[in-house]
Amino acid sequence: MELTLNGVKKSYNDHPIIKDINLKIKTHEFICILGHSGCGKSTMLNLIAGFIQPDEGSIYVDGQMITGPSKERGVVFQEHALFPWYSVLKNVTFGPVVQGVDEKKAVEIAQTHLRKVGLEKYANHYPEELSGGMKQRVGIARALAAEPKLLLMDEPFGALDVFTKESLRKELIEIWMELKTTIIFITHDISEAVYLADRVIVMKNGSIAKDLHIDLPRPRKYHQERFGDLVFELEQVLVN
Amino acid sequence: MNVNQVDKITEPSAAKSNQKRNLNSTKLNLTIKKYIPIISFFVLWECLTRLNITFELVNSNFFPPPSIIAVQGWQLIQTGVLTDSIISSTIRVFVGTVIGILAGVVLALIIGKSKLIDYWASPILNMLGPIPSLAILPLFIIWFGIGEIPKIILIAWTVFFPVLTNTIEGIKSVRPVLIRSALSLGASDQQIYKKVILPSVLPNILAGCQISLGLAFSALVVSEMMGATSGLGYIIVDARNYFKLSNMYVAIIVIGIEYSLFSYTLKLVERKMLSWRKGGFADAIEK
Ligand SMILES: Nc1ncnc2c1ncn2[C@@H]1O[C@H](COP(=O)(O)OP(=O)(O)OP(=O)(O)O)[C@@H](O)[C@H]1O
Ligand SMILES: [Mg+2]
Repeated sequence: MELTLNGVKKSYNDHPIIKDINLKIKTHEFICILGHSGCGKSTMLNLIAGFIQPDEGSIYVDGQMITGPSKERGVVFQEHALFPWYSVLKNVTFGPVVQGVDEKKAVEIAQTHLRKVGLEKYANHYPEELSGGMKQRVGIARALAAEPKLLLMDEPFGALDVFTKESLRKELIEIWMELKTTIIFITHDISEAVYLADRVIVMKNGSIAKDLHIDLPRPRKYHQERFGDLVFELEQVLVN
Repeated sequence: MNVNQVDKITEPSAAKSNQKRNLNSTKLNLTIKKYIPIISFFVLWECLTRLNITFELVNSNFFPPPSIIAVQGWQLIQTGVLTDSIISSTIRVFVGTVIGILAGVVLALIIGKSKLIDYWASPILNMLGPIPSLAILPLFIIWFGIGEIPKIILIAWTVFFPVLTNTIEGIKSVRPVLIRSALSLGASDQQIYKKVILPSVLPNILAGCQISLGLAFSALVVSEMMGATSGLGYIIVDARNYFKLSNMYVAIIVIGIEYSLFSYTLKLVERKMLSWRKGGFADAIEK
């Protein structure tokens, strides 16, 4: 799926949050949007998801202007957003079921995705019974089960410890390689961005400050020299 | 050596069964303990009223002892009056409550969905809501006669408002991120109502029902006192007219018991429907 943002602007209370963003994202790209807290990353994601409307400009998916949310654009939220009254399995079957897939097939799809995130044993638990990292994994499985063409992820690993983050990053890359979904991943962690992305887009004060291709082969290692150089380069953009 | 071993094995298991017995007896003790105040209340009532009958301190007809009330209750059951009254009262309160709850929930959902209906309906409902429903009862009787309809409408009307306001409040506090999730997963508006909004609001609806239940019983009794030929409220008025005070006590106690049963059933329903709210952290670290 190809995503195009054409002169997108968004203000809250006469405060410009997103200032004239132009961006083109190709199919199967892994994009990281990097920026300080409060620079408008979530706002941008909400615009692409179709939850809020731009004041000016428009957003196109494969040439079609978007007018609202759609199952083509899956979302993993910054804070977990699982349905607390459904078990893990029913949370993950939600997408297929509302899209009209029959119950049995939906369970099969859900189990496949739960296996991918290593939680098939927790299918019958309720979200409240899971740890934070497990909830995020269920959130990812739920979004994937709806088979989106574009996956929007808002700092999904932000609240997790280093070790959990690390293993989830690896899992995410594996899933992305397998499913060939386009991913837009928001983060404020520079090395996370360099580790994951084909392209890092640095946002500052509501504009794009840098659009950097990461030309490292995968799997990437944090201690590679080139990795360090790229992190340094992005650091300079964010600090200045 | 052998003996030692046997000892080692039996000792802890004996201790365990002892512990179990202790646990069982403490459990029994607890159950008995729970009812001590209630039992004492009736024993004391019996003693005081018996003393009063012997010494005739105040008119003993006003304060019958529980034993006489029980006998009176048994007689009322045998003549069929009490059973009939319980049945007709239960039907009235049940039908009225169900209608009230359904109307409240449905209207709340409609108001939550349509700005236009919200604009028209909310101010009018806010104006009517605070009027005590018992004040409207005579009007209902004039409009609908003294049959079942005014009683059921009164009960439904009484139940309707707390359920409506609680449900509207609940709809307003559904987490937006859940609705957003559902939309991005491909849910239609109707599916969002059924699978996201309704389960979110269920705790509020049930809280509204708990509040309404007490009001429903008041409405029931008052409506049966004004123009009825059966029902627990009718027994009370009838007992007053013919000065059969023990009948009055029977009716009062039965109303109390019936209310407790309704309330208990509602709690069970609540526990069953909201089981997802329990569970806790313990299961998360199970391996
Ligand atoms: N609904 C809203 N109403 C008013 N202001 C808003 C709203 N949503 C966001 N903002 C403002 O827009 C700015 C950017 O918010 P946004 O959530 O996009 O930041 P962010 O980059 O995602 O930050 P973080 O990394 O902390 O999540 C903030 O100053 C915030 O106050
Ligand atoms: Mg954010």
